[in-house]
Amino acid sequence: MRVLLIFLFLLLPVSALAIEYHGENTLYEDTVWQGEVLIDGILTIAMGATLEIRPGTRVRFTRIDSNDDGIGESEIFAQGRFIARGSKEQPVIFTSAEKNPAPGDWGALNMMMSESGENLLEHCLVEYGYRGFHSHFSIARLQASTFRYNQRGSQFQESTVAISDCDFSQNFNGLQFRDSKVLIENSRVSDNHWGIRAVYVELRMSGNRIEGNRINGISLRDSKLQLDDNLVTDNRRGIYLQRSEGKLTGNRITNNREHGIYLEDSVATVQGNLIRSNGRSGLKLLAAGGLIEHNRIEQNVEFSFYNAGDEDFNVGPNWYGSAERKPELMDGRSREGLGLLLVAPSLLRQPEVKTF
Amino acid sequence: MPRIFQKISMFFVLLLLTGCATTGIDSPPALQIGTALEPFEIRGVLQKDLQLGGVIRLTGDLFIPLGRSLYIAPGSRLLVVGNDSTKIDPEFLDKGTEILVKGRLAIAGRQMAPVTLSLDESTPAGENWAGIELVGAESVLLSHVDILDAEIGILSLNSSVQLVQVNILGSRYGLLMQGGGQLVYKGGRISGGDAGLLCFDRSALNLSQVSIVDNLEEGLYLARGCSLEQQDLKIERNDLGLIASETYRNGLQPSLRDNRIDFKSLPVETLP
Repeated sequence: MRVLLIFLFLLLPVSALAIEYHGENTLYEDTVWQGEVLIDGILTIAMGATLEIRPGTRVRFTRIDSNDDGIGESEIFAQGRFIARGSKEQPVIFTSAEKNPAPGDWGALNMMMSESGENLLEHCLVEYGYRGFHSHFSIARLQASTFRYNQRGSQFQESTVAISDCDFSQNFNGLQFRDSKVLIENSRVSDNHWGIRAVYVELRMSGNRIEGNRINGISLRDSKLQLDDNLVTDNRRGIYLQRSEGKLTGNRITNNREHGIYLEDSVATVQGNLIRSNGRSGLKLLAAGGLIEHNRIEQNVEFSFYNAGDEDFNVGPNWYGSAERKPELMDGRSREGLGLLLVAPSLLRQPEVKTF
Repeated sequence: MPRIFQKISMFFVLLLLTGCATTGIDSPPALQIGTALEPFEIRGVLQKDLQLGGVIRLTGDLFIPLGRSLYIAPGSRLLVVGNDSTKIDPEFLDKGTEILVKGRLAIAGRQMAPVTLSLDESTPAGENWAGIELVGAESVLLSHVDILDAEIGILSLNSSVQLVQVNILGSRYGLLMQGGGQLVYKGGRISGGDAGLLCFDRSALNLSQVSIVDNLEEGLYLARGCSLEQQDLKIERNDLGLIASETYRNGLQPSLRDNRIDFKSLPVETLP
C-alpha cells in the first residue's frame, strides 16, 4: 500500500505548488510540471528521464550573467526527453523572471544528444531567451508555438526538426541551423534581422510567410532547398542561395528591398513563382545554373535579371506583364566582362501562381 | 627610436590633436595608445568605455552594447584582421569581422590627422571585412575618416548617423540606411564599390558636398519613404546614377553626370 501511494504521488503533477530550482540540479526520474516553475541556474534532464510540462504552466528563468557577456545562464539542459504540451487556451510559457525582461535574460531550452524519442514543444510561448529552442544531435517537433524577443528564436545543429504553425517574430535573428534536416510548414518568420540562415542542411518549406526581416528572408549555404507555396516579402533580400541547390515553385517573392532571388554558385529550378516589385533585381545570378521558366516576373525596380557572373545564362519562357513585354536585363551587353542572358520569348499567357 | 620615446611622442601628438575634439561622448575615459610595434588589440564585447589612439588592431568582431562608448582619437589607424567566419555573442550580423554598435561610437579624425579603417596586412587575399553596423545605436559621429574595403562601409538599421568628411572606398556597399533614422553627411566620397548609398524604408538624408562616383552598380538609391535634402551632391560615372521617384528627377539633374543611365524611376505601384 505504501509503495502504491509513493508511486501515485510520483505520477501526480506538481500542481498548485510553485516549484523552484536553485543552482545546478538534475532530474533523474520522470517528472511532470503544472503551475509555476522558477529556474535559477541550470536544470538537467538526465538521459532516460522525461520532463512533461502540462497546459497553463509558466516556467520563469532568473537572469544570471556571471561573466558579464550579456547572455543569461539559467536554462534547461535535456539529455533525456522534453515534452512541453500546452493547449491553444492554456499555452506553456517560458519567460524571464526579471521585472524588466530583455532578450538573452536566460539561456535556452537545450536538447543535447536527445535522440531516444521526439522532443516536443506544442502550444508554447518562448520569450527573452538567448536561444529559445536549441539542440544538438536531437529529434524535435515544434508545433503551434511562438518564439519572440529572443536573441535567436531557434538554433540547432545535427538535428532533425519539424516545425509547423509556429511564429518566429521580433527576435534578433529568427532561425539558424546547420547540418540538419528540417521541415517548416505554415509558419511565420518576421521582423527579425536574419529570417532563416542555415548551412549544410536539407530544408523543405511550404505555406510559410517570411516577411519584414532586415537582412535576408531565407539564406542558405552548401544546402538543398525545396520551397513551395511560400510568401517571401518585404525582407532586404528575399532568398539567397550560396553553393546550394534549390527547387522553388509557386512562391510569391515580392517587395524585397534588394533582390528577390540571389543565386551564387548555385543551381536552381525556379518555376511558377511570382517575382514582383523587388527593389533591385528580380533574380541576380552569379555563377549560377538551372532552369527559370513559367514565372511571372514583373515590376522589379532595376532589372528582371542581373547576370553578375562571366558565363552566359539561358532563361526559359516567362511572363513579364504582357505578351509583348520583354524583361529588363543587366548582362554583358551593358557591362564588359559579364556573361550574357539568353532569354526565350515571353509566354503568351499569364501563368498561374498557386501560392496559398 | 627606442619604444619608450615612440610612445611619449605619440602621446603628445595625440594630446595636441584631441584638445578640442567634439566627440559626442560627455567625458571620454583616459586615452590608451597603440603603436605600430605594439598596437592596441581589441575584440569582443566592450566591457567599459574606451578611448583609443594610435595604431589599433581589430582582431575579431567588436560589439559596443547599449550604454557603452568607444572613442577613437585623431590620427588613429584601425587595422581590421579580415576573417570570413567570425562570430560574437550575444549576436553578430555578418560572417566577416564587424563593429556592431548599439551604444555610442565617435571616431574623431581631423583634417590633418584623419582616422583610417582598413584591412590588416595579415588578412588573407580576397577577403574583406563586414564594416560598421549600427543597430538602434545611441549616437554615432564620424569625422575625417576613411573606411576602406568593407562589405558595407556603414550599415545603419534604425539609427542616426553624423558624418563629416568621410570617404568610403572600395567597399561592396558604401552606406546602407534601413529602417528609419537620419543621416547627416557633410563632405566626403563613396567610390569604387558595387553600390554607393542605398536608402530603404523611411530614412531622412541630408547630404552636402558628397560625391558618389565610380560605383559598378547604383550611385544613389532612394526607395519610397526616404527623403533627401542636398547641396552640391555629385553622382557620376556609376552604372545607374539615381534610382528614385520621378519627383526627384528634375531637382537632381545637375548632380547626375556620365552614369551609364543617369536616372531610373521607381515604378508606379499597381496591384498584382
